[in-house]
Amino acid sequence: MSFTSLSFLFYFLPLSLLLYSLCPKRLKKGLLIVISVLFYGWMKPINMLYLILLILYVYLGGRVIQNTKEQGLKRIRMWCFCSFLIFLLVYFKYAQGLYDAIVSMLSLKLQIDALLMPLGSSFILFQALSYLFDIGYEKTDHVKLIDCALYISFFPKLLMGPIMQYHDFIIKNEAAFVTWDNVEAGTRRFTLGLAQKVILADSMAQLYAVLNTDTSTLGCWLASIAYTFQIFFDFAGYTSMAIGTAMMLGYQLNENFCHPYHAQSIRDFWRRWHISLSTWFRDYVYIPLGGNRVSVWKHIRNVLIVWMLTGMWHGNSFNFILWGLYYACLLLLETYSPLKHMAKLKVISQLITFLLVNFGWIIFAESDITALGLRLSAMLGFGSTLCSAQSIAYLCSYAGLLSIGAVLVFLPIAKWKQMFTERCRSEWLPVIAYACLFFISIAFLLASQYQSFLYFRF
Amino acid sequence: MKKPSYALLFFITLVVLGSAIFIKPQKKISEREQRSLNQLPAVTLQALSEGTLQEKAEKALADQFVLRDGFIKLQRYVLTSLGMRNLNQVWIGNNQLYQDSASIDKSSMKKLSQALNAFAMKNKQLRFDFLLIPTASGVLENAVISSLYQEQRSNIRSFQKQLGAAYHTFDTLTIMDRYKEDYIYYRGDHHWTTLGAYSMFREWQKQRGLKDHISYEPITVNNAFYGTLANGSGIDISDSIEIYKPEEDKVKTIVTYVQEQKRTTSVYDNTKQYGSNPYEIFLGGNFERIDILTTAENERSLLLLKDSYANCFIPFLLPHYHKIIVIDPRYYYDLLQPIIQEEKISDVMFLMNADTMLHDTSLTSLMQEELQTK
Repeated sequence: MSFTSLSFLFYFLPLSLLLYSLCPKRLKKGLLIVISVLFYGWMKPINMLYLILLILYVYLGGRVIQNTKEQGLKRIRMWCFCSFLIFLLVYFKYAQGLYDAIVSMLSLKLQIDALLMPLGSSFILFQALSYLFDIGYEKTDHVKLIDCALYISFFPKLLMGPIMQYHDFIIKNEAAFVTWDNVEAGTRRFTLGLAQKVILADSMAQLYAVLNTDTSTLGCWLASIAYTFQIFFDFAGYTSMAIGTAMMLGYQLNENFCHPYHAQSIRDFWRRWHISLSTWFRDYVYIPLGGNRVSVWKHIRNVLIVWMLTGMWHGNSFNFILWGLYYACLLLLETYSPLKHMAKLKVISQLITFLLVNFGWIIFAESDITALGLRLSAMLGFGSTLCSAQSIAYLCSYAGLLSIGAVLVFLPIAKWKQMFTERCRSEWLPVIAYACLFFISIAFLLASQYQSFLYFRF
Repeated sequence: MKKPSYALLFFITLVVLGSAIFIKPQKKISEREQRSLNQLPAVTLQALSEGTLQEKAEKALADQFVLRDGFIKLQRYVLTSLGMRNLNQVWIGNNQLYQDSASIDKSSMKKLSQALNAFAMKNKQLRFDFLLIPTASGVLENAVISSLYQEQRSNIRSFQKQLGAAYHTFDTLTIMDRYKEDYIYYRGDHHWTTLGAYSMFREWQKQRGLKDHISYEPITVNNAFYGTLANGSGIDISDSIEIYKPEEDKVKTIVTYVQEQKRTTSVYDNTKQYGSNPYEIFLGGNFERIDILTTAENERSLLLLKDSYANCFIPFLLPHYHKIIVIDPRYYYDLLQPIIQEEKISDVMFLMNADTMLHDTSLTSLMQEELQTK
């Protein structure tokens, strides 16, 4: 179930919240697990079984690891349990590609179907790994089935994060409790996220879809900026909805984005973008490998490993690995070249970082390497016209939405919002503003289902 | 006074709108979208376990949502207020909608002109008329589509130049420009109006040196026509459809829909007048091949290669040809040569709008197929 589905918004959310607030305190966690499992299996009920089995496996793994006293054996057991989860992740992502390659290499006339990756597995399995790592590395000794089940399945973060680390989730939500203030703040945060997703991200997605085939320099730039905005508003919007929903239930999730396009360097960008994933890789891969407190060559190796894995986590085509390595190279350049002084020139460094990130998203979006080369060369003004009629027309038409996107992305909106809240004397004004945003979001949600069959060609 | 709560408003809205779907009667059809709306599904355990119930329910909720049309209008209003001039690939001008079109690949344009020239060379005995009709984007200039306007005009001119001397190429841009203040394009549909077609016909007739003394009386057959562009964008712009009735109906016709094996005596299909696409009143829509026999007193036979723009043009041709073979290359997969010989074709006319002709590759394929046969 998605946060932007009507069944979630109009039925699942209010009903869950009502049941949860009426439920006796001792049963609340249990109810939340049931709700979460239902949420996960709503569109494909078999997924519920997958989630339940995964929870049981992780819980038992945790128990075994915790009960092992000898440190060396503890690590071995931890890795044994983790390796199955890693295998699952690799299998879901790469098995189909591998089968296809084998079939094509051997010229076989058959189709081998790998199991489809259940929704959100990249996020769920990373959290399951976090659970086992935290017990193995003794970051926590809190091993209870109900907490393990709730941590893995907690529906606001289930499909797209933020990827909470187990010890962090337990500490922050030890005394989770629904208060009206939480509900008020949660609904506001949810509305902001919904608006970002359905108004901005989906509109940018349409612009990107139209201009994706445009080969002019302007068209390619516009398409890349549309994608850069889309991916931010989509993911940040979803995260806001997740955080907002959790708040309504009295739970606290970590922030995942902190104005990433304000970043003044690539390192800074990754401190602001998908923070929970970067933190996960830092804590469970980079630091255990030695981090930067090793020789230069080992540090370079560590960075390359982390970023290749980051790329692979995002997808199974070659461009994702390339995208990961692109960031590894940029980060190494920042560390070992004079580029590290770039951050002193604030506006310029922000612009350069944005352009580098923008280029990164082109690699991320384009799985065909030839098309990627053509697109990048078109953006640099080679092998294409400067601007097509279509790109000019779409630039004019989307100018308003692109401007709103740019303001939200580049300007200190959070600071302004804070100032406005402090100075605004009317308590009704913010309520009206949120209500308008909510109704407009519903309008966009419904309009996205409007489907008139155009018969130009018939 | 108690502090106002957004959360309260939020949940009241969810509950009211969410339950209203089950209280209000379900709508069967959306006229604007020209489709049946999804109905709330019956709950069965099997459908629930397979997930089909949830899928159907999600679609039904979107279709049956209370005040759905109002919400869609609100979205259109917000977008247009933000300067958005393109909704679902429809450009919005001042009380005029325009069809979007992707940039044209020059090499495919060249391929088409080469194939057309070779086809004309192969059939030197025939007269070739070429009417490449601009769409509204190429005639009704507007700041919103200024780049599309320029591009379409330059493509039409460039394509016309590529055609050899065998073609009597009509300067359709200048002709349509002359009438651009009139109602020559539907405001909410991608076709030209009957007046647009008639204006072009008069010019064609003049240049061909043909005379007829028929005067026509415009009759409105539908005055609430929401065309493809209005429906596609969800913008409320309606048109009226006219047919031009000859004051003296001297010419009788027999219209044969070859593939469908259907025969009628009129080029109008009145059953379509208030249907889902009233433009189909002209010839009943688009078909692979239509043979029209007339009582016109001449021996001329026309092979017309066309798209839907020709449908409202054809009635004006009836007094000038004894026989008209209408071929739509988008649906026709046979050869033309047997038709040219068997039907004793004297004239060939190409009549399509610039978008179909320059984007669609079916005419190129047809011509190339034709040239490969001896």
